[in-house]
Amino acid sequence: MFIRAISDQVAKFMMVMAATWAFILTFVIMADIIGRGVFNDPVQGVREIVANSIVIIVFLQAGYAIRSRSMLSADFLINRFPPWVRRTALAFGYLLGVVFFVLIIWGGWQLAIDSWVGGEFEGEGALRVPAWPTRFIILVGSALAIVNYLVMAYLDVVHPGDADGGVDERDAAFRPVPRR
Amino acid sequence: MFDITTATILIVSLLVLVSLGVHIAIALGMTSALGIYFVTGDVRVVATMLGSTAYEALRDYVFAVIPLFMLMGEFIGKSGAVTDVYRGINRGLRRLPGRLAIATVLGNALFSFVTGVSIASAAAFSRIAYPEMSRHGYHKGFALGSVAGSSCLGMLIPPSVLMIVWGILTEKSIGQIFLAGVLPGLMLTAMFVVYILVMALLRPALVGGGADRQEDDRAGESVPLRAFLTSLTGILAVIIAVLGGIWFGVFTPTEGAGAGAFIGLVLGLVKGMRYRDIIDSILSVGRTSAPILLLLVAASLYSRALAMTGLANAIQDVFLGTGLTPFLIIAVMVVIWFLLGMVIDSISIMLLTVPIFAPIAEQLGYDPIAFSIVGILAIEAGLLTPPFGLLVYTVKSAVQDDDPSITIVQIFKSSMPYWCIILLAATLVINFPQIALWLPSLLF
Repeated sequence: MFIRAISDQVAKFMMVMAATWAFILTFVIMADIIGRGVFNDPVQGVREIVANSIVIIVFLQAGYAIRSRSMLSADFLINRFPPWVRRTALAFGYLLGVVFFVLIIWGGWQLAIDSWVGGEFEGEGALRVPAWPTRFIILVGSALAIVNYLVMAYLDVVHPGDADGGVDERDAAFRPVPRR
Repeated sequence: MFDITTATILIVSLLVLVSLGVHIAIALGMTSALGIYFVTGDVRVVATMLGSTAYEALRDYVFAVIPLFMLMGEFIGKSGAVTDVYRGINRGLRRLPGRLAIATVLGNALFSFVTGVSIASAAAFSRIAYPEMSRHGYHKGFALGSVAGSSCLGMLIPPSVLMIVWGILTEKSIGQIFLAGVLPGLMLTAMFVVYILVMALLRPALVGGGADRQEDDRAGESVPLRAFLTSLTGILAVIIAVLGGIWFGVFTPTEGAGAGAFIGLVLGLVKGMRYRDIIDSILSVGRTSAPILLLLVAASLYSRALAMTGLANAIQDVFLGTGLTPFLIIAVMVVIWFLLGMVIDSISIMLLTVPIFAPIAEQLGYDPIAFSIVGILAIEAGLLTPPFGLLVYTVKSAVQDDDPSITIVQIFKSSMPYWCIILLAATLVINFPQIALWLPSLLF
């Protein structure tokens, strides 16, 4: 399915971006430590940057986490059900996922606009980080999460090739990762 | 605000959603949304609350520790340093009965000082240690049991993702919980070693009749002294810089994790890790950390809902009103953790129970830091219990290609002694909280 292919590409791209971003944080924090320890001059605003980055990283990765079946869940019961019960339960779960992120967008929309118009800032001192980029990325990430829940619903409920649903996926990146 | 019908509806719907296989984050989030709706009666208020929680829940410096510590463990895991150290320890133990199994426990203990998750240890040691043990005629179940059992140390010895999440949920110092975990972790390591020694002496057949002690060095088993020293130095440097830095107040946990990821990367590069491995590590952390952080968003909503609906207080009253002795109340919690541990993953268990259990323990006069160690021990033991012990399945899938004849049941059976030992350790910490509290009392 064409839309699914695009959605998968987008999800993967966002995940790679966010993962790289997390990696870069290592160096940001190192720079701060070295600056403070060696030159007695900490990098300005590192705490704010890191704090906002984590929110952005998580919401950029949400779609991929859903799509790659990495979201934590308890499948002990559901795997014993007959296929139609299983499918109904999955459909219900994905629907709830859609509702959850719709609520986040609904509630966050106004907050994001207010923060943009009102020039909301976080942090004090020399470097103040504007709040609106983070707030808008939450909306984007939630929208992608919704798309991915719909894709999952298509794969597992509408078009289940087999009981496991979607195991035919060739892309190694979308194989389920082991749970922790 | 609180009435029994609302409470029942919320608890039942949470349980139903979780057992239907709904993503735990969604189950928690939607149940909380329902609870907030019951209190406020307005969907728009619920939406605003969700929207603001999404922004506020994770917007804190401290949350960076989760991906950064994972990155550190991933780099060190991929660098091959662990294999070197395992082989080095192995040589050092030449004369001990069951030395390969003991080296597995010790190697795991050391590795767990640089990784925050158990599953990485289980997978790594299944591939490193099991072939050696199997070659030397160890009983297969016994060998894999020692791998699965000792992998639990990954979560019990700092840095540990479970400790970080516990600290975040209860708003306690992560550094202090880390420090509290050291002695119980070492105690558990010692108990595992004693168990293996006793078994090796009582039933030498389990450890190949001591074949591993007579044999000379084989090419595959020896490790050049230089490689061993580089790896050991690297791992020790990480432990000293990261944990030492946090404990002596030089680093915040986030800075420690950042420095640890950086040193891990350097160690990996020294050990010959290349571009592809680095990318793999980064992406694998991306895949595994996002679901955990999303769970934490839901957890933040859940704790708001617990407070707003009065549910947390009500459950606390039930527990405290039973008139049980403090030890029995904690024992009930441990049993609940074991039961949950059979069906859902450790972090989800913590999110569901800790916001309720931790205040109860505190009201009973139990030290919150010592309680965190008891809780982590109990939750971690669930990874070894049938029918869904995650570590057992990890071990099984890691050796699947080499030796498909091993059954899950066999590994479960041989992991049981380790499970019992963890239970014993938890009981010891409940009764003697000093085991956990002694080190923090020296530094904090």
